[in-house]
Amino acid sequence: MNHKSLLLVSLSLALAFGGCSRSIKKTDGTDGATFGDGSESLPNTALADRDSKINPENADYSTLSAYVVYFDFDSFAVKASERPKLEKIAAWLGENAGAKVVLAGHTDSRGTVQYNLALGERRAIATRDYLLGLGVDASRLTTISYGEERPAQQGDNETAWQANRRCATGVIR
Amino acid sequence: MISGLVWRAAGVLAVFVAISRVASASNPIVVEGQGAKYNIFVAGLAGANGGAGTAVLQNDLKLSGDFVLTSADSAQFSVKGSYSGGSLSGSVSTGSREILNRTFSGSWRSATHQFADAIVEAVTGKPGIAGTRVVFVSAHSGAKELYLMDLDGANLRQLTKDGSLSLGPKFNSAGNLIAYTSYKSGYPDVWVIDLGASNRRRVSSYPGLNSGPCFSPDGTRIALTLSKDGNTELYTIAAEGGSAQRLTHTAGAEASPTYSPDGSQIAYVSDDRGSAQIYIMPSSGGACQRFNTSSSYATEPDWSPDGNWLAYSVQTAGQNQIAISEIRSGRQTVLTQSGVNETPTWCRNSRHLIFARGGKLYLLDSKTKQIVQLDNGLARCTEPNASR
Repeated sequence: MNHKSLLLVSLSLALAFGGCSRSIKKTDGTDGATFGDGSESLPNTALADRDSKINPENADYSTLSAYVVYFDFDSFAVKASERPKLEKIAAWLGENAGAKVVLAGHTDSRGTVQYNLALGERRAIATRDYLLGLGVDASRLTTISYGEERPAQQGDNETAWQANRRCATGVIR
Repeated sequence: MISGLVWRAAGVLAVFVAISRVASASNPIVVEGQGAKYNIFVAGLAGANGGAGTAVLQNDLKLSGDFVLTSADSAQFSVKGSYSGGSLSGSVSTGSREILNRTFSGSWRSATHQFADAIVEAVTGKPGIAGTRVVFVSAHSGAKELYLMDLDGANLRQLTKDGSLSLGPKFNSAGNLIAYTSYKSGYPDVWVIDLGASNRRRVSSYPGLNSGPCFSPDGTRIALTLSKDGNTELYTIAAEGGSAQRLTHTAGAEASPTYSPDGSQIAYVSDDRGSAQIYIMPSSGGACQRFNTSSSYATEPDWSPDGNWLAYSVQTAGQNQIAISEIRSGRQTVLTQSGVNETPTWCRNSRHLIFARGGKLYLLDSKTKQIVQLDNGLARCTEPNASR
């Protein structure tokens, strides 16, 4: 690549980022660790290609069910209280070298279907980024969002809402 | 069109006289807010299906929001028609003058809807909505599947039977294609159904989320949410599928794109500044502007066909209300008062909206705030989208 095209690339990047970009999402008084690793950069580690042998429907969510990560309302920040669970998941992946995991983001039933799909994926990505920060290889992590479609608990009350704002880790062997 | 304007002017003058006269005799339709209605008399339609056709036509005229059905004595407009040989010949007159006389073809039901829309257009100069088709999601059978119906709830047709999750269907402008998200493969992919060819194909299956597809007005592109690059962002792809052009670069989540009718802009939802809000940006990418909705949680924007309005839902106290804002002035009107009201979609007249509440679909007149349930016999209905 010559100097002229390099300049063009950086110019267009600057234009793109000058538009609808912002440094960091406010985290509403939580610990501010939006991206899990405390960095202020945009999450931008491209997702691994789909593995044709993986169907998220067949993931086993019971093995790592003790490590379901919970979120605050309308937030995708990984809370300090949830980080030890991710360390456990990273350790488990270290011990089970052949395994891959599906990170399934969910929301509560408030809000609307399409936004909740995006928010659920954002939660899965925040969880993924934390695991990447712990050294897990990107090829072992698949994200999926179910939005508000698969609640862990039925009901329109705070207990159910809390239980449903989550990222569950499913094992694919 | 000229006759429409003339009759509208005449009708507005006449309607006040007519309403005061009718009010003393029988109960007028009670509406919130303003909305002048014309008195119309529908003589029983003749021919095969005449009885059913009359009921369909009368219902269409009521749903239009422009008419009150009256006896012949107090009517400003009088409707006649008859079915024969697979078509419907219909006419409308006021006094001794005929303002419409036309033949409509297709199924008797379709011909009747066309007649209703022609009546609305002849009298008001604006497009009717009786020919609208509605695609929506229902979990009536357990799994969320797509269904299609006429505006009045009839002609119900199940479009998917995947036993999976089908979400967020949206028509193209021509009304022959429907884009939606399906979890059929196990992953959320974007599919397009071709109603004419009765087939469907997958147009977006990038790693991660593929959701919230919306056709550009010229039908060449689809705006959608993808997460392939490591965050949930807005992109566009060719309508047949292909490489993705990225529109947003934020730390938050973007969803629910809707094009302006000229195709130059996209309104969408982003939580980049802490809670879900509506933004507008050029459809080719670039600087975005927040659209003020006077609410800390606004989602599901839908741009009106005339380009002047955004409809959306706002969350207050755990409930969801349907609101509209005039884009130029930013003036907001909240149209519903209670319950969880979601997914407003504009009809082609830029006046009526269809939305979901408690698993049922409703037609909402943004001018009068009058709400009518569109009963299709199914429970657990969500995410309606109206053909334009």
